[in-house]
Amino acid sequence: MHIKTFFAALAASALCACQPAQPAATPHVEDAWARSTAPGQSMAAIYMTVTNEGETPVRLVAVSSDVAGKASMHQTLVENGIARMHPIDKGLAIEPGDYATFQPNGDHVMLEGLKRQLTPGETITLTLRFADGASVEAPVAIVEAGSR
Amino acid sequence: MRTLRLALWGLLGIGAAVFAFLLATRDPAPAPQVVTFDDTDVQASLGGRFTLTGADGQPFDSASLQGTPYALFFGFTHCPDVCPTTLARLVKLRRDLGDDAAFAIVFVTVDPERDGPEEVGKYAELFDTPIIGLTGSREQIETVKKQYGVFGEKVGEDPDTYNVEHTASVFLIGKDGKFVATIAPEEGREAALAKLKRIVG
Repeated sequence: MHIKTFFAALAASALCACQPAQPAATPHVEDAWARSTAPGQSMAAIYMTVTNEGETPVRLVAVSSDVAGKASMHQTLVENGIARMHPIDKGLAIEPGDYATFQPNGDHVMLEGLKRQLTPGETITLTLRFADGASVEAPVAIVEAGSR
Repeated sequence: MRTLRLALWGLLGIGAAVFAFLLATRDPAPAPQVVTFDDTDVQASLGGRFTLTGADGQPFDSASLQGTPYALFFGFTHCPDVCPTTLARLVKLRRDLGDDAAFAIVFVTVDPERDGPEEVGKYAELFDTPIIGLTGSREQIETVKKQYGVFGEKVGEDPDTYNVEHTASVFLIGKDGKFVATIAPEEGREAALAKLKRIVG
């Protein structure tokens, strides 16, 4: 082996070695909350901030909660005074050091087919799944509907 | 060369004329009605007395609100984001004015198929402050929607999970029962409070 090739291979293996060995920092969920629901109400929205504290971009691809038959990410858009909802079906990319905000009248997690009423003071769990296979369980505070 | 140039200019002219003709004759897209609160003509033509059904299942005549200013919002109880956000906002604005009787909050469903008196009643109670929840027959709801230029249309086929796209603004009605202004979702707290003071004062 030529000495040049040897060093190139060494450099390449060093690069390869440090990348997968570094465990990806798990994205961090803060201030996750939802409004309480009326009896029989089938839908709710969860709001939160998801921060990517890692060194590489992450993509939030799916959400789920055991209180709802289905959970998905949606964006509310008010166009010409009319509120419409668009699914965020390609996931949501978050750059390193950046965060994604889910807030009223904006991006939100939509819970469909609620299995029970959400009451103020309780905490439910939202599971977030990322494109790299990582998943995060976040506690979601249920607040009095008129309080926030 | 000169003839060729003339011919090309001619072709361009014809092209432009055809384009202009197509533009002028194409079907206009159905434009959703947008309420502008500064337009006095719109102001005069919007609103009016209506009869719907209250949470108790009894007829609700808007004349019963005579003397009480109110904020009127059209939505539906299975609405996850915009409706509870708007009602919570009105509740907070009313608290900011320091009096839960400053104005009434009236919620009218645009989804009478799923929202009967019981549903609108329970939904109104959710906010822990007086809110008047109203429903009605399809015809009654359509009439009130027309009175306020409100858009509301089902999206999706599933009878349980369909969404209703609808007007997101709140209508402010004075003590005399007349429409005064709208509050759009994107308007800030100060702007909203200033408008509310116009009906509350």
